[in-house]
Amino acid sequence: MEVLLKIYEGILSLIPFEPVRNGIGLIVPTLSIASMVLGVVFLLIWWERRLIAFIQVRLGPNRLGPAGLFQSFADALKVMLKEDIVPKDADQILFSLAPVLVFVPGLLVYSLVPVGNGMVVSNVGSGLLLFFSISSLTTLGIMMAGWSSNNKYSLMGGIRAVAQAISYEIPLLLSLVGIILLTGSLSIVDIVEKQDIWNIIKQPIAFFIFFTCSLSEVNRIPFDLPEAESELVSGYNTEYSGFKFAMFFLAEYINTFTLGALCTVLFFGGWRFPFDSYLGEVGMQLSNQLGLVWFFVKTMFFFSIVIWIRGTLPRVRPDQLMAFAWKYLLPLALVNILVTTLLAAYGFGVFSR
Amino acid sequence: MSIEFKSEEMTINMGPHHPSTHGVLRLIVKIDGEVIRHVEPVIGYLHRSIERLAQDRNYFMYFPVVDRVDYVSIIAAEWPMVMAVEKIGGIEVPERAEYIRVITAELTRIMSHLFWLGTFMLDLGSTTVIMYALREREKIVDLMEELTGQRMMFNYLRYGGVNADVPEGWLQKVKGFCDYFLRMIDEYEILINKNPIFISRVKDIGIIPKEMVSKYGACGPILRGSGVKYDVRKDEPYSVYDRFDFDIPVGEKGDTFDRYVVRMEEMRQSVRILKQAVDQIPPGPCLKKKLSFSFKIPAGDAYCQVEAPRGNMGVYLMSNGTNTAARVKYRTPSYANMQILPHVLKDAFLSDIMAIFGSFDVILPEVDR
Amino acid sequence: MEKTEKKSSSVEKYFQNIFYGIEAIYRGMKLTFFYLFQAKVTEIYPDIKRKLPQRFRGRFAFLYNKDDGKMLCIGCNACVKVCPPQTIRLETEKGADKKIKVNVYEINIGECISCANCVEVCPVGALEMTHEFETATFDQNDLLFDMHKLAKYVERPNMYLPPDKAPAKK
Repeated sequence: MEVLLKIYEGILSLIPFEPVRNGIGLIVPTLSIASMVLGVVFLLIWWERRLIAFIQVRLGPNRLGPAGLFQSFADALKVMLKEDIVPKDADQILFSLAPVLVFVPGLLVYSLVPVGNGMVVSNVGSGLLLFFSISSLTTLGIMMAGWSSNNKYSLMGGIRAVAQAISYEIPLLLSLVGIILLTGSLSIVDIVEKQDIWNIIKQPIAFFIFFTCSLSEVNRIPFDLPEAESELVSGYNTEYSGFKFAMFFLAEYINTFTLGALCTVLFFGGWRFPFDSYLGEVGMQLSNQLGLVWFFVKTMFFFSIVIWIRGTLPRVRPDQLMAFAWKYLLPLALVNILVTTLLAAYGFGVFSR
Repeated sequence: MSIEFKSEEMTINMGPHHPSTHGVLRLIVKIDGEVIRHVEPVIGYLHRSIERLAQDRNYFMYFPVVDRVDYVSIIAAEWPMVMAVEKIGGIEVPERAEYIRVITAELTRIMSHLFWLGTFMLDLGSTTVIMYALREREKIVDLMEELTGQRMMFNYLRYGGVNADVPEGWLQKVKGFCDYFLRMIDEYEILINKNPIFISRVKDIGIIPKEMVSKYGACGPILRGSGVKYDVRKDEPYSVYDRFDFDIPVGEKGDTFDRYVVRMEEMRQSVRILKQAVDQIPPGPCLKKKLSFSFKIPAGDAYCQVEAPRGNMGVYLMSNGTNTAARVKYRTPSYANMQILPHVLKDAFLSDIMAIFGSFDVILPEVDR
Repeated sequence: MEKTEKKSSSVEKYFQNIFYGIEAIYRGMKLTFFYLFQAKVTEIYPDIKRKLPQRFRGRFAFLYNKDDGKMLCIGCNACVKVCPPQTIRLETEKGADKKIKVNVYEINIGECISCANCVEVCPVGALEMTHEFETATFDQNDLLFDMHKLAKYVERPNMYLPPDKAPAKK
């Protein structure tokens, strides 16, 4: 992908005006990341339906297009052409604003994730902190959707979602303290560049806690109470139809993809080939030229694991959810920080800085 | 100065259209936060006046209607009707027909329990167990289709035997299915039994004490899950059940997990009965005398009951000497089992409704008839 | 002494819970991973049709003799008396040669429940359940089948045979 970057910078240097160059330098990366994510969503919907069908010994969509690839386009078309119903007693402004508040932060955080060598929209010094601040806005959107629908089922779904999100934020952020300690900076780009040995070897427990808490933040089985189909008929998006429902639906897939992206970037070396610093020149070339491909493959691997878990486990009850977060994950995260600090202070093996 | 927090109870209507009340049942639930204070079931949405239809139709014409009392396990609803008419009319049943009736009844018992397993796990959130359970159920449905011609409403038993003899090679297929199915039950248990999420959702949830369950007339796996060892096949044996060797699984505490284990064990015992029946079946006719379609039976009344997958299914038949029944009354197990629901759900969580109600295995057409 | 014993057992139980939980989830996930590569049970319907068993009760058929084109029905009204939804309509009249002639024989396929009571009761075996099941139409009035739509021409003696002795249908 360094080839693409060289072409892009070459074109950019041809333009004489300074402000125009800055403007294009801001717009083109943003648009390309946004369109890449939105384009990947179509692939994700197809992949999820196929994979979960294969686990359940049945075929997924297999009629439209070769192996059913055009199914997501058909779904998107259907959902966009449906009538957009707004209940009469619902709060009109909040009802229309909620899907936007759920969808936009999910897309906005991709400006901080590096997908290749030097391919990041904005390299902010405190990238990790900004990432989680922005992604917490989706909880506000879910609460708005639940309240403004004027429906008891939606309200229950919204309340459960808020309780769940708040409980699982804390172990999520605490589990990352170990990585920040070892890397020495909050910037995601620095974390990837300093991963000669992947962080999974240094921090396995933190990975486990991070994965579980992210599953809960994204509202995926086993933690999908806000949209539990069998108890509250579709939870907080019961009253939504048409394009607003499509935005909720897409937001969930984009969030799951973000889960995978973060797992690879923070623990599995992002766009780097495994052991590339030990393979010398060949390793560096592999990482630099094909960085995007490795990123994509690793993220799809985590997405598949999330689907696999969806196919196996039942749903937890709300009070057991809270008990799990506060009694099991939080102490484990604190113990992890303690152990990491001790090992890093004495420069023990891989933990030496 | 103290501040008083006023909180009201919220009334949620889990209405007739709901993804997981099994059929059209309406539950009016008053909750306080996540704790249930009061539940009121409203039934009657599926009433088809099956008992009234008997008074205009002769016995032969009425029989296909009887299939539809419980459309998940069909033989359990056909058999008591046939037994009642045979008891009043003094009609004799050949032995081969009794054995075939037992084989079909046990096959439909496994069918019904597989359907229950799938929908129970679907309510809890796991979406793969229903597909595996329905894959097994398809094999039994294919077997019954070869035997009777239909996949769901068999119309197979007749007054005095069964409709037709088994086709060639069918008994070998049943035996092959038995061996295959025992392996599959072990696989389900790998996926479900020790799963920590499942255990925390069903252990110590919905405990029904022994006194309550006998007081309300509950029957079937609910009764056995709470520790009462009662099964119609052993305590009041009918047909040829006293020739088979099988056990009755009994639970200890009466919680949802015990009811789940009782039903899984019942499936294994049904397979045991099936193997013995296939070995012991004697040759002979299936129907001694073919009755004309407007046959009469003498005046009288009889009550006959069988062990349906959900409990005691009984028919009270009153005849007045003509070819039409004077009164048919169905005693269905789900109707009696549903009475316990409000008492068990006191002070439970909202998410427990589906776990507890799923473990009761209530089928709405039985409740409303 | 008792206090420290209790404390260690609760810490032990804590880690035991985590370990057993993860082990059970791992075994469950191994099973579903195994099924990812097994044969799928879906039947791709319009492309591949299933072979129906011989006793399958599909759409109703009213039989005519192939050699002379005459219907096998003698108009005894037995099938009308045993149909549970009472959907057979049969009208007869006494013909010129004192024999019963059947004018109208109608069935509403939408109401018929395929119970095969009528097939069993017919004294001459003039009725049959075919293997057809794709009878969906766009108009409800198309579901009222009369004699000619229900017709099926056979060349066999007019005698009813129960399902286990009947010859195999094609």
